[in-house]
Amino acid sequence: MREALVDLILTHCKSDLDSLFMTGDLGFSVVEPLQCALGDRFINAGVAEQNMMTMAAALADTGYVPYVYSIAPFVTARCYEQIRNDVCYHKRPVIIVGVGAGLSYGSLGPSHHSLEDAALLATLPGMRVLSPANAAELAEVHRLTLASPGPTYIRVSRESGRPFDVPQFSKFDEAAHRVADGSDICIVGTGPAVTTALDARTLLAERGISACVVSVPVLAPFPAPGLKRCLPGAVPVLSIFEGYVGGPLELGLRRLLMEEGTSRAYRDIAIGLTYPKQVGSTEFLRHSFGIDADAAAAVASEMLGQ
Amino acid sequence: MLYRNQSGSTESRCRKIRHTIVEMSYAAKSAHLGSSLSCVEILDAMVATSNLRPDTVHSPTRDRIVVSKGHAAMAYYAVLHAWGMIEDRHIEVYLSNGTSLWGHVTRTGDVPAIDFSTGSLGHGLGYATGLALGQRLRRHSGRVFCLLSDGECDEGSVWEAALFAGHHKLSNLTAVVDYNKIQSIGTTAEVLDLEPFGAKWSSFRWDVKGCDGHDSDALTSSLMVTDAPKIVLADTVKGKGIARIENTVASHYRPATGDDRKEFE
Repeated sequence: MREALVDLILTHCKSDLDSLFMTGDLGFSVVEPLQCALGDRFINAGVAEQNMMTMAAALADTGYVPYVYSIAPFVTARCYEQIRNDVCYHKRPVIIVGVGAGLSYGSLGPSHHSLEDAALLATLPGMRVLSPANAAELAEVHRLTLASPGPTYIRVSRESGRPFDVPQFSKFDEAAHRVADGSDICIVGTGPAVTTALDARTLLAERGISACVVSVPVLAPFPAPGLKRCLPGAVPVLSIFEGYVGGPLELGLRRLLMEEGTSRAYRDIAIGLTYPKQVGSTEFLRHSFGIDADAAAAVASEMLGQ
Repeated sequence: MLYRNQSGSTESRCRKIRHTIVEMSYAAKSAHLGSSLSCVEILDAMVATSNLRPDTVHSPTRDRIVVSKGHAAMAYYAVLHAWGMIEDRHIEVYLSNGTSLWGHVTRTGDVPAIDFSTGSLGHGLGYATGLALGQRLRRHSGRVFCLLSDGECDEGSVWEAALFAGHHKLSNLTAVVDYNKIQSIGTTAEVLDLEPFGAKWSSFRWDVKGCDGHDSDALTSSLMVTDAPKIVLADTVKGKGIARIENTVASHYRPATGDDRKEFE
């Protein structure tokens, strides 16, 4: 999805001279078109993410809307206090772009996995946490961001994600939509987990189970109104998040379902608070953590007593 | 008793600023008295050198001042008060519930002269660097000043900003270290020795000046623009102006006493 992201940013920055792009010295073979097109509005801040984030807040103070790009943990956990104090407290319209959502960087190791980023940033007042599943969702949440500038984190997977049509959302808290229909159970995913949910749906269909899949490309502000609109009535709900348990999707869904007051079953699949024990690809790690399509199909079957 | 007086000598203005700090610290039982008293002349010289004034405060192209040692809030509030950019009514209720001035420099709607909120050390120089870069990209002539504490230079983020500003030759950026040589619970020499301090900045391609941080004329001269980012290592005395607390670690924590107030009567 990096290429789609860079295309979006390039198109926007070419037409809006108040935008600029900062990188923490990453993006080889992807960011070069930005470097060519933006001149001094392309800023390689060096391998210094704390300073990059604080400078982004300051550049926003001088009227710019900066994109701040790096691998997800480097542009979130590494500089969390700079996001907290300099960007969020000052309400600066900085667009943080973290590449490598969840387990995207698989065998590169735990330093490159990003499993707590969404939860960390969702705790900050005013921060929008965006988690698109594919290029179409990315384009839509990017459009929403530009329409309403503010502190924003876009969590982007390395993978392209399964393509599907995406409606235009009127605002962030409407950003949830049904990407596949079904009548027995509803699987809710965000980011790369939407593709996992669609794969689980295929596996469930082979067992005679009809699963609906809902994608949630915005985790904060949690799109409760949008979800209420597209969750089918009365069926069990299973959510999948490629990150640690207790993430914003699980918390938001639990609250929504409690407020709904129904007794429908709810389960969440996410990664327990543990580190991987063996080297592995993204797919290997998803399987070993129990968050792949096989695991989702198994949990869904169990919820339905099958 | 509070003073606002831009007339008279710089020396008398700085004495009155110290008096305001002591009154604030006494009334609010506020710590960081020594840290505030050491940077009075520095902050006063920054405002005097800049074009930050009551009639320019809302201009996006004006000079900017970033107080990175946010614990010296009383000093900056008292200096802004002396220069007519904080009202008496805010100073008089410092740290009271429901008011505007926090214990570390914090931007609120009531004080537009405050550009940036600090308190966690190591953020201000990066912010000042970003402002200086933004001013340059905008082709604005505004300058950016930044006050650092010496202990703050333990933070790696200070040196990230220093590396960036030096590399990009941000000559519109001028930082001053309040070099009182006492940090939170020990001297800088004991905790993490900064020396050779000037050589460190010089190796990061900054123009380095040293001066007496309580000599307003020397400070003003040191703040002149050159063709590289500039660092002024201003030798100061923690707790300056109250002999019984000068050069003490305790002055970082101890609020002003009744006896301290008498020094300014």
